[in-house]
Amino acid sequence: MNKQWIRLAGGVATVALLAVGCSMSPSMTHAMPGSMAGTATSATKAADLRTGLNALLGEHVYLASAATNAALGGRQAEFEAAAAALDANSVDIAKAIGSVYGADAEKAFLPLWRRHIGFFVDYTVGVATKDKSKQGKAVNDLVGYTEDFGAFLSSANPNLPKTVVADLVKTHVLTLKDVVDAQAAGDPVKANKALRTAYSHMHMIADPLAEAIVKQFSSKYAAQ
Amino acid sequence: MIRSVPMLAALFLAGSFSATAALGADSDVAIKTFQFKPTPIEVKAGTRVTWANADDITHTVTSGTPENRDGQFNTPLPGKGTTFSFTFSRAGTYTYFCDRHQSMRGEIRVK
Repeated sequence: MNKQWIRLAGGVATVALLAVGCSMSPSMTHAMPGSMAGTATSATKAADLRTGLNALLGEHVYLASAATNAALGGRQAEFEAAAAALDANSVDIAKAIGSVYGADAEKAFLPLWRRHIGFFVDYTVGVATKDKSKQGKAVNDLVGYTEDFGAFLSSANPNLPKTVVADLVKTHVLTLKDVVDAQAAGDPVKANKALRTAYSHMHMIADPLAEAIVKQFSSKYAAQ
Repeated sequence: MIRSVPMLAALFLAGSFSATAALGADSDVAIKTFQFKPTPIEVKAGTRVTWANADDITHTVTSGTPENRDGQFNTPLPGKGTTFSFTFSRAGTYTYFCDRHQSMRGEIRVK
């Protein structure tokens, strides 16, 4: 799969990777797993949850962008590093889900989450090889995936309507697609502008997710 | 025997099946948050196992593994509240999975 990614054009992966470092919140929650764990400085568990989810999902966008840009630029080592970091971020997101819904949910979530990354791999390969059919299938798979993702979260948390989650994830897919398209076009200005938009949108997912979790487990996340 | 389950494509060799749109009384395996629960389960030969989908998405109950489908059953459960039942008449270990989300796996041990 990785070799398929590596093709064509150039771009801004180094900048994106630096941006990942800049995007990390200094107030990560102790409830967040793995590399995201740190000294909690926010006032409440609910705030920790929100900032933690925001950081994880923002990191997801930047690392995905770094991976696609390196792939499109044919920079193998850089791609492999970004892809490994992206997967580590996926594992951390799953652990965050597991910290709320348990180990079984974590185990179910991770392959579901990785699935959309695989579809993005397909899309990027389609762009790199100028294969419109592959691009179209990947977009369709990604749109279909949003329904799955919405169903998962809705099943876990009745405060998260499936259609609302699906629409939010659909926007995530489209904003990240814009990044890949701009990278493939060799337009770093447009790519970085799109990256900022994609990053900002993740707040639209992280904030309601955190809010819904706090509502579902109000005693656990009661203000300290 | 089959009600309100479009696209039913079940084959049955080791037993019989039924699928309904309503939750039945024998919901031995729940499909919830993209998991089969409980799994594995142990049952006696002749037991009818019922899967009940509690997720708002189509899952399937497909016999075998994605790498090795055995063709005994392959039934879509198109959304919350749909069920599928299968009677296991012979002893053995039966694996199954969701064909749409292939990381979802389960196992029935028939004694």
